[in-house]
Amino acid sequence: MKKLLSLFLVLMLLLSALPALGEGVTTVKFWTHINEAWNASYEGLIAEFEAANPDIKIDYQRFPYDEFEAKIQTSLMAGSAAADVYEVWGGWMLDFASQGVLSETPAQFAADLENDAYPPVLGALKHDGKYYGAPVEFNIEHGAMIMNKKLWEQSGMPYPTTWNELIEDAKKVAVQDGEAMTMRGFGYANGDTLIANFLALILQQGGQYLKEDGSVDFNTPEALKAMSMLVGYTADDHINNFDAITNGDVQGDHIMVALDESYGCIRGPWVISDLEQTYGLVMGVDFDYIGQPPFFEGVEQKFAAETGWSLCVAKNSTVQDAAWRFVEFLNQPDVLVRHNIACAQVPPRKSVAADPAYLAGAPYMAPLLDKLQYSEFIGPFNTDIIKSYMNQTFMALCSGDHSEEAVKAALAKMTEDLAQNMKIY
Amino acid sequence: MKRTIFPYLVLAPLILLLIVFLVLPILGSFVISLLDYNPLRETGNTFIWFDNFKRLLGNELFGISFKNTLTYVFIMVSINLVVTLLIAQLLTTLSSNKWRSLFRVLLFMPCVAPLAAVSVIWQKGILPTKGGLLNIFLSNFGVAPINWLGNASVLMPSLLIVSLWADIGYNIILFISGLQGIPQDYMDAAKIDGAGPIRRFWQVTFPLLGRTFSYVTAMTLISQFQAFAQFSILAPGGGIARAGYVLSTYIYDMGFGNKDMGFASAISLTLFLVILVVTLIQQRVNRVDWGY
Repeated sequence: MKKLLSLFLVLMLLLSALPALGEGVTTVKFWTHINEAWNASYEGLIAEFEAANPDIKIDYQRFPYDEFEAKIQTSLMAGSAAADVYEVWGGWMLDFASQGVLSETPAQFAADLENDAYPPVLGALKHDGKYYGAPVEFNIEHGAMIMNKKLWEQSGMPYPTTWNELIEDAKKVAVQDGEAMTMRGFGYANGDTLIANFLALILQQGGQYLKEDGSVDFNTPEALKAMSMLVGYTADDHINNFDAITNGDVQGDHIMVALDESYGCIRGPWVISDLEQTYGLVMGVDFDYIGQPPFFEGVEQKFAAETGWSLCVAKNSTVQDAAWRFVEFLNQPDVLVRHNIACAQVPPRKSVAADPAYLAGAPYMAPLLDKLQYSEFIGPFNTDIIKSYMNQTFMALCSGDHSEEAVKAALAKMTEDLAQNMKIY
Repeated sequence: MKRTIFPYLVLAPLILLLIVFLVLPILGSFVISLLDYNPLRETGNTFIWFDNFKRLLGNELFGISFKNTLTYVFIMVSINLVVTLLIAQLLTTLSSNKWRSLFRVLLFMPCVAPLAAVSVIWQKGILPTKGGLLNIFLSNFGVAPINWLGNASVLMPSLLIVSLWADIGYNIILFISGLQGIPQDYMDAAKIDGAGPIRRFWQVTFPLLGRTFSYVTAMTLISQFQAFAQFSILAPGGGIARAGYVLSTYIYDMGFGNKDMGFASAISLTLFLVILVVTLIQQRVNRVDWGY
């Protein structure tokens, strides 16, 4: 018994001495949301980083997306940052960056990003002329379309090459049964794409909606034409209805394409994996991902985009140097290119987009890459608010009077409502 | 002396819990409503006194959500009370214990499921315009497909149907308990006096059910004023024409979307006052001064 007790005490002593062996190793806590492909990529890159930096250990934790924002917010509000590096949606960055809870991006790294990253992915990271984080992807909801290959082949029509052709084709195939739309000609209006198309329509006419102070003004002829076109496609041409707005993502545009209830829709490339994994579809067989033609022939295909996922370091982190070393590692073009391919992400850096390795690894991104140069930052505001007002205005016009005067009045009201209710950072 | 202190000592933990988790948060919410408060901000959460409450006056979204909330609560509570009392009365008249238990279990089952999950099931399986169970059922009677969530005039009825389905089981159980607590002697006496089933219900059962009815009404009112999950899922952004935008979703949007916690707290306190006033009126109207 005594021997056993002695052995136990010796073991306890040895165990208590273990932490001392780890002295000199800095632990960086890293939080992301749960996404199988993204998490797997991060795990691989963390192993690579730890091998190259034996003095740093990454404690990688992930959380369900639905609770992730609240979790980050609570953590940063607590003041004693539960993590050192956070994966943050760009739209949330506006809130965080302006409140002094994030560490400023090191000057040299910031200069590199300013030179190489696309404007939309940096816009939300900037506050008072300083950057607070680094982008890892470019969120895009304009420029490419998911097309139901089977339906197009059955119709005998080739894929349209101009926007007007697309609308004309969509009108021919759309079928409405009372309030139910049994076949959608083309989906261009869901919670994400409606505002993206509206703003792109304004920009492609050579117009502008952003004022110098970051607020918006839709009392312009370009906005009038843009809204009239979008409303007309649903209210008069009946190529689409509101299901993708009123039902949220449950019956999102791309899901209707997957269910053979829509000929196609505008969507970001992230839906490709959803169609393949959730619906068992095969790209090139069941659907195609092709370029979206500009709204007007012969114009630059300008569009506004709302950032993407980024990485940031908490201001209260006690291991800021190590944390930034990790973020900079993940943001190196040769690392980022592998991460963007593995996660089916649009690259936030011009150098990655131009890297042949990227296109070789993600050939389905081809329709988008040449359009990234025309991107603009959507504006320094929380996009949930502008999307909500856009959706309501669009649905109200489609459901009632949508004469030129009615559209003008609706745009004036939307501008006024946004001035009152949308915070400009 | 010991006799005087003992009840307080026994109640102290409970009172402490109520103070910490109920009274203090309400007071905290009141203080926050007087601030320009962003929870992320380290400094600059300044007192603006009653400015947040002034913002509510003439605010279009507040007006819409307030009106929708009152409409929803009034219709929901009215239908809920009538339907649940009727079903409870029918169940208590069943002579077979087995059948009574079976129906009780079946009707209570929706209450066990989380409302968010229930809402998703309705959204995905029952309410879709094409392929939804409700439209398939109605098509048997020649009814054309209805866009339950995308038509401003039917969105609120859709939300009411979902809420009723999810909520009635709880009140049925409470009413059954109340009905079973009424002594049989009163019914027997009424029968001897020649009262029929309807007269017995209105003149004996319903008055004697007063305490249960008052409790059920108050609880249903409070819970329906706070309804959130079904609105958030079935009417994202308030739904078409904001026909499904209620105060709880407005509070969420302002607090967590706009990070304007001061304004969100002002709306919360307004909702709190509305619930308080409505409940007090209801308690006054349904006051019961007797016992059996």
